Amino acid sequence: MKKYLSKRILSSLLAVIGLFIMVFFLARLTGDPGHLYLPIDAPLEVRKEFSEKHGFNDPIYVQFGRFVGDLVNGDLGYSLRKERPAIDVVLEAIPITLSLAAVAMTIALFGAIIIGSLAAYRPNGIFDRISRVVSLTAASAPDFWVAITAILLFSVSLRWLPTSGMGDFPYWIMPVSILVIRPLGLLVQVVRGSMITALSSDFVKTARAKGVKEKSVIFKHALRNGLLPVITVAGDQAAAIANGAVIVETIFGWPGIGKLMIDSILQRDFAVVQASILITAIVILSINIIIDIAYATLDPRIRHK
Amino acid sequence: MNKLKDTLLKVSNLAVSFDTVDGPIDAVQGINFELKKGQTLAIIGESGSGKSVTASVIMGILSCPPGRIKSGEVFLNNQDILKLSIEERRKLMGNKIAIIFQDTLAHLNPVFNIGSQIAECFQVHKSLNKKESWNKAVALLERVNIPNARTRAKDFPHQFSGGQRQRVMIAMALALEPDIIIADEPTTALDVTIQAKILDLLAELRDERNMGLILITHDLGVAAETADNVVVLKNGKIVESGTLKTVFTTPKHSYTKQLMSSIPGRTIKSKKNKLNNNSDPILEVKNLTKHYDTIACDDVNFKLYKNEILGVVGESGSGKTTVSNLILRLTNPSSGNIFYHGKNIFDFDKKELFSFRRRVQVVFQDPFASLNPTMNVYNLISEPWLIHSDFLNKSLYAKRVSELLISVGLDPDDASRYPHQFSGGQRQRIAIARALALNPEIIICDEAVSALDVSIQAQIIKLLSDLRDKFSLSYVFIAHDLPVVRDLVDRVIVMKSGKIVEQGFVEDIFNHPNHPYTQDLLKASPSVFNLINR
Amino acid sequence: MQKIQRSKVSSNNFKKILSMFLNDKLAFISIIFLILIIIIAVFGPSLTSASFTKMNLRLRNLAPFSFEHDIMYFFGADALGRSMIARLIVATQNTMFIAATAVFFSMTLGGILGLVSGYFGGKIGNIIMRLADIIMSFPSLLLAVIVLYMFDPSLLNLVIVLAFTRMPIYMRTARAEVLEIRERLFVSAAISMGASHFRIIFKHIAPLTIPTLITIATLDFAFVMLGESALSFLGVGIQPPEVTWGLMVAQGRNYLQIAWWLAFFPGLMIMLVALSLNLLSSWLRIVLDPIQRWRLEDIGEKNE
Repeated sequence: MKKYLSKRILSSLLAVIGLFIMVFFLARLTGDPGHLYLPIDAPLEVRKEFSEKHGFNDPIYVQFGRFVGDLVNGDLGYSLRKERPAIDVVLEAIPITLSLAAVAMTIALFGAIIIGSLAAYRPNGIFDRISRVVSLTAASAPDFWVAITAILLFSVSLRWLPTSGMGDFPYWIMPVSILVIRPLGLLVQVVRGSMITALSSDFVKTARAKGVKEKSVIFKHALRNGLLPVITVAGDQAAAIANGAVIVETIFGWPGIGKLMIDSILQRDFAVVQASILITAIVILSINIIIDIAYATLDPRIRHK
Repeated sequence: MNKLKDTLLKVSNLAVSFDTVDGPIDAVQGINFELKKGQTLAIIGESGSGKSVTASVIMGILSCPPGRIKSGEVFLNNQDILKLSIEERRKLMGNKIAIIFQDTLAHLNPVFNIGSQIAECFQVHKSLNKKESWNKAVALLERVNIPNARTRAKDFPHQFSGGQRQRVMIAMALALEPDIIIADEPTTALDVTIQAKILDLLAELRDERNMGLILITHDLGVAAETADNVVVLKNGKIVESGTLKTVFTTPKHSYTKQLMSSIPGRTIKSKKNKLNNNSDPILEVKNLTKHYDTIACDDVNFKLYKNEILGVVGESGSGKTTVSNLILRLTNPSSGNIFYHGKNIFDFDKKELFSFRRRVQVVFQDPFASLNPTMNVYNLISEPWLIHSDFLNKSLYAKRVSELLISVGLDPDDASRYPHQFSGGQRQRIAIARALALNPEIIICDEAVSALDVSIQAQIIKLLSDLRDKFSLSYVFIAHDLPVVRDLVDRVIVMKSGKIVEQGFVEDIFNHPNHPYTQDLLKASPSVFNLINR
Repeated sequence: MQKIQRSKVSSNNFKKILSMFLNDKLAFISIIFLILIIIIAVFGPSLTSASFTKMNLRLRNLAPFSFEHDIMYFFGADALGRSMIARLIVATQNTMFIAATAVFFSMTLGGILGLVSGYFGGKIGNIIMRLADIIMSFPSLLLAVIVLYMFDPSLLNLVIVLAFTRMPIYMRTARAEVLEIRERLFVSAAISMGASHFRIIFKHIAPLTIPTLITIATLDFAFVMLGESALSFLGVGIQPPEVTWGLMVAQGRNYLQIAWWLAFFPGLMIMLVALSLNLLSSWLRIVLDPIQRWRLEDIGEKNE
């Protein structure tokens, strides 16, 4: 188990490094990296001066060495727009996205477990059929479209909810709901599938033959096993929910990492983009490692590997 | 009066059907039997005979749908349990009547430790608290001879061996001292020596607690060892029932007779004279050793002569499959050589290996897994010719496929069908036809009949024997129990923990085993003939 | 008895699949809808190209469902007075083309990479999978935004980015399947028959992975389409004057309060197509899975 976990952490670290090297070289591949930092209409002299100042004219290995050196010192570059170190800007945005994602993920997970288990108890029953159509529709909904339609309906027409911005409870309702929709739809499908498998497993027969009460058969014997695949999929959803956060933050004007990244890209603030990529990757990989640990605690077969 | 009191379970006129896409199929058609206190009733039948369905009905775990109980009563202590409410029924399960399953790894919950799974019985039915029920669970584990029961109770199912898991299952069934235990193929997946111990344990517990035991099995030997009465099922109907001795010694129904005659190892003919061991061996295994994490195969030496059938017998982990994989060059040895006509197969270059692959063919244990499910029989059998493209002209494929199908007892029309449309025995015939396709010199049969029912086993063994004579083949026939090889092979090698413990002519091994392990193996193999001597 | 059962099964095979299809009404409706969409995508634009660019300033932001004008204006008109129907039809072609190309390339390349890395294992296999992990661990939308920001958001780049970000799914799935199939006895049987690596991979292993890959591809088509529309919505996807459903939603967003239909209809199209693909995929999962399908057919024989 320890060996497995350390291997996992090591490979995650490699993944982060790999991603970063990729970004570094991709940025250089486009030709003049100054192009990424400066406004499109910047005059030639400004560009030249900028390139020299930041050493973009040096050979690529020198640049890479400096890039790694800065990285080791925790220096992720300087935001030209915000006139602050890029890392500070990013670290300010991260908690906003994390709290939004955590609330959404919790709701999606619990909702999916309840709906999926109920659907699995009587496959092809009326509840199962309805939940299938509803959850597949949810999984198919383009979130940006749902978001603007919801704003039109609930904010503009009905005036029940604020159109955008952060604040107390009413401000959270629409962003969270929209972020929940797709993961919920997907997870319901997964829970249903794995619960059907679990409920038709042989060990459920054993439990019934022991005279275990039906409630306990479902929620103790089957659910504990049925949750295992759900946890794996929930891990993949960490990246998916970050996708959703980009959209939701952009539309509702939440200053999270998604909006920061899109804004920085539009404002050509490349240092912030770079820093955001690194931090996002680290966060997502950490979540995946936590999920691995959760998986191993729930499944003794992994634990003893 | 007394007689009535002794009857624990009475099944009368039970009929069950399954709803399928093609309409309902009758799995059990009006069966009757009775179980008395302190007795063992063996329900014998091959796969599909309805024996496990019957057990599911008694335990109330038949999945409905697709299953449907059409008629019948199941009396437990003179009460028809099929008429009880779900809650009343639940209170009986595990409490008055309990079941032991075959595939213990699947039937124990993988995410809970075994102690808590046994303790659950006490919490459900006796409302004992956690600590009390845990202690009782540990005591039960001790009773079924699990060493270090107190610490092992915290372990999970996958950490036990197959035999130990079966003991855990038994402990769980025993927990509330039920009147009846149903054992559904309890020893099928186990090695013979362990099988004997489990059967002994079950018999001992039955006597100790004066329970009734229903033993469901396809293995006549197992039934012969333990049963008082037997019921023989075929296609959901009882074809014969009575005391063990009557049914086994004077079978009346043709199916029972056929079953009895297909038991391997009735007679031993002397085969010494048939062999010409003076000639050079076609295959010679020398000092063969293979290490994985442990030693799988250790300094193995033997020879295979032309037209000879060599049996390799050993329990799981004995290294017999490693030997087969090495002969097939599916893996490389740690040290040692295999000489094929005097040339080491591990020194073969690409061309030599390719022609070796033509001369040596294989038939595997699981006839379903060894045939590609996406290919039809024609493509399966003709594939070797596509690989060895100079062997046969394409225009002759169809004719040759038909010939091969006929020689293994199948219909030429079967060529267009897919493997899943055949039964296990028929699939094995397809695999044999494929092995014959290239006119090989040697066929390796890796547990080729182990997954089949006894009557099918006998047919396949007969087929292999006929084919040997017809095409002058040599076989290396690998098996995990001795009775199977008795009829077929000329010489036997007995393996244990990677080493050969004994080898010799088949009649010598069976009549005068020298090594204690061979003696154990012979003693442990449940045999119908022990009954007659009993 | 065995024989009777067998012939019955084989003759009913086709019928059974057909009846399974008709039984699942939702899947049936989905496939009809998808076929319709494909026909529109292929033939629609050439029939309506004239009205796609035709501006009619008198009909600016014309509300939908009015019979007063040409049938092409039934779903209303945009801010320049162009027919919504014509624009939706052209957008159908673009959206479908981008998604189909991206799915095709990611499935073929990802599938082959997964097959090869699963079969040969070893270092190369591991490196390939690490690469897949890197791509998987990062939000695909952000990755696409960044790449499209560095390079120009052209049609080709868009397809490459979408294909690239979805490839890991196929790699992982194909590899996982291969690792399992590789250990099956019929592969050992093929090796001991003398079959070449090429034959084993493409004749024995690949056919068994294809049903799974196709099922995933169906689902993935919806994903890619949603991804493309999100990118277009964010302004880094397809650029005007070209148009996709996602871009139409983005353009309509500015007129939300005065002309809701501009954003509503293209979004609805995205959702309906994605839903149909989802329904089709969940049906395919049962039908194309040899294990599940045969389980259905074999009920009679394995009635224990």
